[in-house]
Amino acid sequence: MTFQRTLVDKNEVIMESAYESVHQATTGKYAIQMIFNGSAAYTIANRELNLYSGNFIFLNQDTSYSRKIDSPVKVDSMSVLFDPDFVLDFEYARSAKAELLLDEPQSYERKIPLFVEAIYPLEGDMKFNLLHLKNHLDQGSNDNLLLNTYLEHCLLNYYALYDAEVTHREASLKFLSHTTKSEILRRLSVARDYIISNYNKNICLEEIARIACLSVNHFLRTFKQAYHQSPHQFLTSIRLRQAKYFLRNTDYPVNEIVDIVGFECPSSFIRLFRNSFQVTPGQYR
Amino acid sequence: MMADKLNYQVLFVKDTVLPAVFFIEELGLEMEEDLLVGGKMCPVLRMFNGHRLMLVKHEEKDPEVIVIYTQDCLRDFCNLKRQGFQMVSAPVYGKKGLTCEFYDPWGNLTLLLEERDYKDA
Repeated sequence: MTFQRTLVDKNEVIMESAYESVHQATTGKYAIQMIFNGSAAYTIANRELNLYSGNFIFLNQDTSYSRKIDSPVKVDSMSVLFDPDFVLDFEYARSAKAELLLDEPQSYERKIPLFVEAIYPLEGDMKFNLLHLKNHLDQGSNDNLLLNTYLEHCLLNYYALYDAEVTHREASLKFLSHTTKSEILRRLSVARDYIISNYNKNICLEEIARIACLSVNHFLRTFKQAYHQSPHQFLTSIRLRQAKYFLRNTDYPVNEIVDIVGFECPSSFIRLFRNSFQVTPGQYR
Repeated sequence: MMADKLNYQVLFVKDTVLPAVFFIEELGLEMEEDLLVGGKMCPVLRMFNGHRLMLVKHEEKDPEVIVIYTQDCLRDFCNLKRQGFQMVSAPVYGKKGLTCEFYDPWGNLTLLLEERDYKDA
């Protein structure tokens, strides 16, 4: 097992490679946690989640969680821990007008932000920036300006993603009350995380709706309002995305990948893959 | 790699030596060759993606706009900022990737572009 902890002012970046490890923590810091290969099992409050490569999870500063890695392949992970003061300063700089920032830099109300904790795909600018950050740390960089700039941009990318995935989706729900919208989206997010965590298993709609504490009909209707696709379409997209990961990063035969990602038959997998990405799995590889 | 390998930019400068050193040392370009153009030796610098920048000596020149491709825009932004270069903009995200702008020591507006392929990322 290798473990590297880098302090960037009051923030931290922790990189770990391990076949087996157990962590129990309340860090007091906001966390972006990601897996580069393999998977890790998380227990967050009463939720059991699996984090697979190609995804990251965001945790609030007061969340206590445990993480367990038990894998036949070495799992490389990275945790970026943001001090609450860093997040507060970032949020103030992002939302306050320039004149206020110059005249009254300390005037803001210090209200600790609370985010909807969820699993997100590691893609776009967030992926590029986190991989760059990892490379700099792998090379032993201790350039404070550079590392701080990367952390700031990771937060910038996260806020953009949060706006798209939570704020806008919340707004698209057809309820009058803002509180109802927030609560429904929180429950849908729990369901979404459950689907992502169990994408390779046979999961049924009733079970997902139960996890979300919604009736099946209510769950189906609100899920489609928020994510513009059915839970089944969402599950299929997750399976196809993970299949792409295995095609790109392993030499497993296609039939084996079909099994790993939870499809029942290779021909339907190939058809879905071609319809989604306009290439066959073989051509993609 | 998204860049067209034949892409060539020409930058007119009063002296070719110092700008060549600047682009090599600060922005990671590599010296490819010296070309004889109109009786003058013109250094051709190569960017990591195969794009080239040729420096041509010219006594009367106005500031120009050039695009330098980089593999890590934030790294270059921090390096330039630390050395006191005048940054026109903080790094911003666009359709092609991450960019920032600064003035080089000879007054040319330089756009640093880290191209990012978002289709498969």
